[in-house]
Amino acid sequence: MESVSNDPRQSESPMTPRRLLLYALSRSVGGIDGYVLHALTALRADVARIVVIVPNGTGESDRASLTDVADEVRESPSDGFLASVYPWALDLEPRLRGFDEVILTGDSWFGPVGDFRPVLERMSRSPRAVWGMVENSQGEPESFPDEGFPEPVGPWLWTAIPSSFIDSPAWTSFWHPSGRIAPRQFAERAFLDHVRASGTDLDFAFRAEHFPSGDPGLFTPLLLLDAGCPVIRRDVFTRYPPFLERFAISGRENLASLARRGYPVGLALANLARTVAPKALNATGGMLEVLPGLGAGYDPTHPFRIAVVMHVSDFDHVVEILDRLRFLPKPYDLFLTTTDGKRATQLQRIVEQSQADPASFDVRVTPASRGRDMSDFFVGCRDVLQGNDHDLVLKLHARAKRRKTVNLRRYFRRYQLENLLDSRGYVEDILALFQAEPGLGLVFPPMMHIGYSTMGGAWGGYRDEAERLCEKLGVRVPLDLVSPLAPLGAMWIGRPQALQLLTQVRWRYSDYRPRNPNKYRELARVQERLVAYAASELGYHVRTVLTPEHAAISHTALETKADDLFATTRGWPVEQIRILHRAGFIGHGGIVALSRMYVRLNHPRAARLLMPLYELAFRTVIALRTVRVGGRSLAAMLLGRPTGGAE
Amino acid sequence: MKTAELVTFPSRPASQFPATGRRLLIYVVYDPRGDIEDYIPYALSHLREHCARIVTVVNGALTDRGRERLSAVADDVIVRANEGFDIWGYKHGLDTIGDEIAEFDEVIIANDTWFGPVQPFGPVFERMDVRRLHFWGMTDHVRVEPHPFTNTGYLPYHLQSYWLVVRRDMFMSEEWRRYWNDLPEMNSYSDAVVKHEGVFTEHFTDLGFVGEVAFPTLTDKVENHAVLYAEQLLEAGCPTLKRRPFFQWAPYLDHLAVVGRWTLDTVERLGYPVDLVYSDLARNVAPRTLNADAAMLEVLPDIGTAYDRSRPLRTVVVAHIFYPEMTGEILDRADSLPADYDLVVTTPDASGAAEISAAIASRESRGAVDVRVIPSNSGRDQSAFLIACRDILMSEDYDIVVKLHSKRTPQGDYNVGRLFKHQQFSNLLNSPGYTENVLGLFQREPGLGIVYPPMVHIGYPTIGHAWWANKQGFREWCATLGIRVPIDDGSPLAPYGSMFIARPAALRRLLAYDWSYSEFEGAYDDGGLAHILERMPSYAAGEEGFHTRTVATADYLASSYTALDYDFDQFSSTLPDTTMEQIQLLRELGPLEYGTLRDLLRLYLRSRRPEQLPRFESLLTLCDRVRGKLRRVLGR
Repeated sequence: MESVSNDPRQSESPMTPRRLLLYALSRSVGGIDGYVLHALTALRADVARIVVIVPNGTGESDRASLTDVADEVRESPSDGFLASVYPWALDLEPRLRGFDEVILTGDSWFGPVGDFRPVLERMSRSPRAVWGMVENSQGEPESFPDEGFPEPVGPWLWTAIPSSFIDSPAWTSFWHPSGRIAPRQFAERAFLDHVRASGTDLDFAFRAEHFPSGDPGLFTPLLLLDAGCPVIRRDVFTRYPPFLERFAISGRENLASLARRGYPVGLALANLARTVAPKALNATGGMLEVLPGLGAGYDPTHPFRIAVVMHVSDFDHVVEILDRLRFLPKPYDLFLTTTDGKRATQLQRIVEQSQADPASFDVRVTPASRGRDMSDFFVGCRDVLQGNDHDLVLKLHARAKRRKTVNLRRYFRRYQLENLLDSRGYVEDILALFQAEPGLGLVFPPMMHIGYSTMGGAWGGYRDEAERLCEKLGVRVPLDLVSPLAPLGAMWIGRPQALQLLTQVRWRYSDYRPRNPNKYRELARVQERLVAYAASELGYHVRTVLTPEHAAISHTALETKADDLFATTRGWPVEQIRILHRAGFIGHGGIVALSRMYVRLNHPRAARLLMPLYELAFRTVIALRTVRVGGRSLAAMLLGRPTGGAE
Repeated sequence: MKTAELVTFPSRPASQFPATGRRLLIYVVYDPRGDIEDYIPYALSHLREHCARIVTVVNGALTDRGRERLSAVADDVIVRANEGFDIWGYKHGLDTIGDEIAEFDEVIIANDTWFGPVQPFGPVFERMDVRRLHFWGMTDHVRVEPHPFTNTGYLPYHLQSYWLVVRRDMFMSEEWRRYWNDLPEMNSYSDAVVKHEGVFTEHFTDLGFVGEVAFPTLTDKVENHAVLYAEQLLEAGCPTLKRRPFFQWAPYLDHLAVVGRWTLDTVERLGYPVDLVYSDLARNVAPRTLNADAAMLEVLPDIGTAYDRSRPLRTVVVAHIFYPEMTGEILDRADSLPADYDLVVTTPDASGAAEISAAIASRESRGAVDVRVIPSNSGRDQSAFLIACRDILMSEDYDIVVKLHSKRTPQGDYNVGRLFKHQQFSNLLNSPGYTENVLGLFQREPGLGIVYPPMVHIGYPTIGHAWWANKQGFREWCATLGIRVPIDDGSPLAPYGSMFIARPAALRRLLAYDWSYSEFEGAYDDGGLAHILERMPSYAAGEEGFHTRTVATADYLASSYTALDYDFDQFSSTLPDTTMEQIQLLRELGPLEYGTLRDLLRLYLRSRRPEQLPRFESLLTLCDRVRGKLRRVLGR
């Protein structure tokens, strides 16, 4: 590994500097990302030695997978990324003097987009200077820690230093400053500022003055690519979506552009799926597909083996649903579950008479369970999900919702079914997505908002449970704070492997019982909210899908409701959201809520001190009220009086 | 059909409608313009075969055009002051007929709040004629407790007052005479419900008159079925479609999962001329409300499926090119048009014109070219379109005009500007297939006046604010131009960015006015003429009975949708209840501004003690004055 002297690359022209690349990884879990291997493989041709610095705790197999692309893998003493791993790793380099240039970089970019060489050659013409890949002359962008998007701390983008610089006082004084160390002290920008202040030559491959923004790496990544920059910063995709939107930084456009330039976008998506909260990624990446239903991209010569799993408790619409299955390319297998033998016999007949025409079908009798379609899916059809007989599973159900109005039930049914099974062409459009992207794990329609109060809280109080289950399943994907990216409605199409973390658990029907001690409250609802997260953990990304008609209905409604809702606050959505988040719960706009908002908005430090007290007081009031009302109703019950008036 | 609430005992003897019976229709119209919308003569002409005499009562204005249209289908046209709502209009009609009513066996009292017949009237009359009854209604409303308008007592079960039919035994009775004689004054919509619609059925049922309903309530929930279940009622054979589901507050209909677009699909499928619906709604419903209520957005694919080449549309592209270097880019877009097109370019100076002409000459010709040097760049593309191209657009030589301009990306907010430009061009002229689909919409719908992309919001703070300072000026110019389409409360439905594809006929109100360049000086200030006109095309088109659709590529929609969805979700997270209630709460509280003490006090007063607000404001002014004085005294 350390046989640098035998390296054939040594015979390159004397003009080419010998480069040492220090590539730091930010994560120790979940395997080595494909984009890292891709980047390092590409860099091999241009650098003499590659040292990968992995965080403490990186597994043996992960380290092994790096040995093909790196000359050395060093496990740093810290758990995550700290910039001080760079000098630490340099200290361990035995033949540092043998290199002309040291590059400090890591997994904070996707690339190469195009080729590194032209940039490296151009920059090697001023060999004495320290140089960075992209200048940022305007400072760090705003971050949103309260929304779950703190300032990203990751490896440096790309700073190259002449190896002689390491002996300079400027280098030493940066890493061993006198006085207190600020959190941002070892940021790349701080280093470059320090270099400039110390009088060393500083250059950039891409200077800010040539771009319309002082921070072209974030604000105009495509102009950078046009200018020949071989990398795109990861945080272009990972920052708070309303912030990115404010500056029209479109992840969808950026990904499309990367694809056009020949970058294997699947690698980037696999990493983003694992590291960005899925609903945020859905927003930033614009990962919604409105499919025209023309079946244009589908290749029938590479069909999928499809299984349909469907729980039936409402017979009113089962025929309608089964008839829609005729849109699936044949052959496919059908698995139906229902709660008793009589219904099962009935279903058997209905399937035979329907237009479904499956290659095989199985009607299974399952116990009546609180988990309904979800327990039947994960327990009753475990064999289907775990076996290797199918490439895609379509999960449907016919479930009664008697309490909802007819309009709501109809909208729900049409929304869920049409957005998965609108027509032959539409189904082919969906299958074409899976054909085009091996990394696509699941598709389902976006969160319903017409007739349903999902906006602002679709976790429905299950987020803590979800967190608990994630821990058990080993899902480390960040959970969105407000609403999850989830097939609310429990219908989707996905690869069974993408759900492996959920399906490999030996679930039992008893797990779905409410108030089962040591189990999950409403497991079905938690699972429904976690399928996308489980898939993301394995590097599968998720897309939402809509027919053009549903897109029209839903978008016009969204637009007009948002317009009404955002009318009384100022500025861009990112500012409007922030002021409301800072103000806290508005309640019903009474004097108490407004006072609390006042303190939170105008005296945030006092609020941080006061809020726990306030919360305690609030809880006490609620508790007292409950006791009082409870006492009163107990008394009323004993006295045989109606309790209706107690409220 | 009978419902429990219509059961009466002892009941009076009732009879069928005689085989040779004569029917009188009293039909009340309220049309703010007095022009009489097309759906009204359509409805009346279809009622003709069932009615021996048709009396129309017009509440308020009636123009000559309106009178002509009514006279063609009605026997009597009565015009009265717009007082007492439709109910007093019924009374006026009944009073006018007076004793002549004895010549009839049945009277229909109906108003113009419905489209129809979507399903034929015949089967309904056939079914109801043989029933022994005194009165029947088309649809009913279940009992509601407490009364939603008065919050006390209850709203009785009732037959809805837009269509009531009364047989001879009842309208010749003393009770009937007395009911109308004693009809209370009605000054509000609520009065009309509380004092007539809600009580009529119960009143006469209690008196032993036998009533029935043609289409009883469809579900077991307390809802207004005629409005919320319009589509299902049509499927059940109901001839009437209420107009209300297309103009009610969108968040309310949304809350109840009413999908107007599906209702219109059904209307079309059942063979009703849906153009009549659109032209009426375009004229009388605020455009953004209509856009939402009927989901009038089309997401179109890049594969052309909807354009009929055998019926090409005569198309002119009007492009204002201030930056000649953008000529090629604009023409590349225009070349996605499926057939040849004429090109008119306006530009403010001759050297630019030469450059543009050269650029055009270097390309394959797609039709006649006219490069015009305009005398002033005041008002930019707006004045160029309305003044310099007026002759072309008023000429009737073209079915379609494509309005483009050389939108340059500002250096300051480069990315935002770039995306806006892309949003404009791509959503109108994305590819040959896409553009075919856009033009196909115009072929399909003769009433489609204009299409353009949905409101830009990525990078722009338009959501909730897109009127900016332009609403008052907008109102004034609407009055000047004779545009009476209701103005949206929230952001107007408009081609932000001023690029669109339209029928010149739909823009007649804008083109007919004699604009001058001097009017456009300072037009780009906030509240200035250019911003007002930018917001006006759909309102102008609506006045002419043309409706608007927004159009988008799947790619744009993906970005727009996911951004809106995410922002909306984030924004609502600290608000209670449903979206509809959240909107109501925020409206009640009013502008949050910067959340300072003053702002929050205002919020509180606005929602809880609005009467104290003026005092509070004068107190603040006083405080500011005192503070200013103190400052001056203290020399700070």
